Amino acid sequence: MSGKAHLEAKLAAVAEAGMPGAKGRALRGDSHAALMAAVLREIDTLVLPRTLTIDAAGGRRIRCEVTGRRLLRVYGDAGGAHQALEGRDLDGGDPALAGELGAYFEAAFGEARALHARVGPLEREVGPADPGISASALADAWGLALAGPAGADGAVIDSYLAELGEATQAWRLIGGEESASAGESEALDRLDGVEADALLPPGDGAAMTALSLAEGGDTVIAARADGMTLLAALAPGSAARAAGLWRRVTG
Amino acid sequence: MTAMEELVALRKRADGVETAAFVDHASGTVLCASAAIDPPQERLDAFCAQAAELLGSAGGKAEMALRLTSLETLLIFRAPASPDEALCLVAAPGADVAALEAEGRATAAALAR
Repeated sequence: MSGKAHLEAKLAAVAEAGMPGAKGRALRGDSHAALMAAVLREIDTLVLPRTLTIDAAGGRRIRCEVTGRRLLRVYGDAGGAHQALEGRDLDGGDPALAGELGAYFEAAFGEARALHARVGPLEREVGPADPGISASALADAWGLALAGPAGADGAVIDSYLAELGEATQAWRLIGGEESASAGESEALDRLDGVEADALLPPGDGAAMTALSLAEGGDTVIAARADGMTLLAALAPGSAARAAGLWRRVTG
Repeated sequence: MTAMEELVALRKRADGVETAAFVDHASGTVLCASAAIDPPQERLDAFCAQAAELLGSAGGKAEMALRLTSLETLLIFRAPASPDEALCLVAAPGADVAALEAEGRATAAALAR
């Protein structure tokens, strides 16, 4: 490798390491719908042009080109009847597109309950000629609360998760019998040891509880509204900010 | 200052604290309490239960718990030098959480000395 190529590779690695999700995030769901909600949440966090590479156990992979919270193109292993979608410029104005994409993801990940997502640079210019389809449009078409399991009215919790933004290391959404989760693997593992119901008061009213943990100062929150519960690991010292945001979204 | 004096001073400094209680959540004992209106014993007992439940969650690693409901703001601080003891603060739903957290941490440290 020449000196210039070596330097370019180094710079690319550094740039990629600086991107949210560059090291990879685990996505988990109790059902295909819950898992797709987690995938849409990942797309909904990407504002700048990025490649979102999603892998399932067994080697199945879909690479998504994303910008402005919109899915521009997909490439992957769905194969068969879905090959027509590969590399095509996606346009949310096409009424059949959401259904086709739904079938495309189901063909690739229908049996999966855990995925690994990694964000990288997008190696091509994108602009107005790339209309794409928004994560929220896909969520509407697929009958999902953007971040939540199917069938739950997640408006308050969804807004709250969006407000928490990059302070969120990992999250789990629980609606009825289903749950979906995403985040850094270590943070997700920490959430496995926390029971959301134990943190919240009895009943089904809106409530939020934050814990500041002694080790590392991490913050764990549980929040409940409209039949959906959020459990999340946040950056250290986030309890007061999380409380302020909760008041904002619950009015 | 005595523990009771610490609680009274905290309620004077921190705007909106309706009740401040210092509890031993391991034994379920309220060590002392200061309140705008004396709470019933059941309410004081509930502080012990809530402190035990919240500080005992997440593997018992929590040092502070904050709970917001439509009725109140509840903060519980583990006493740094005495892990079975905790300071519980109850304030109105719209209370300044950041200010209460700072006051509560300082008072919890003072109570455990």
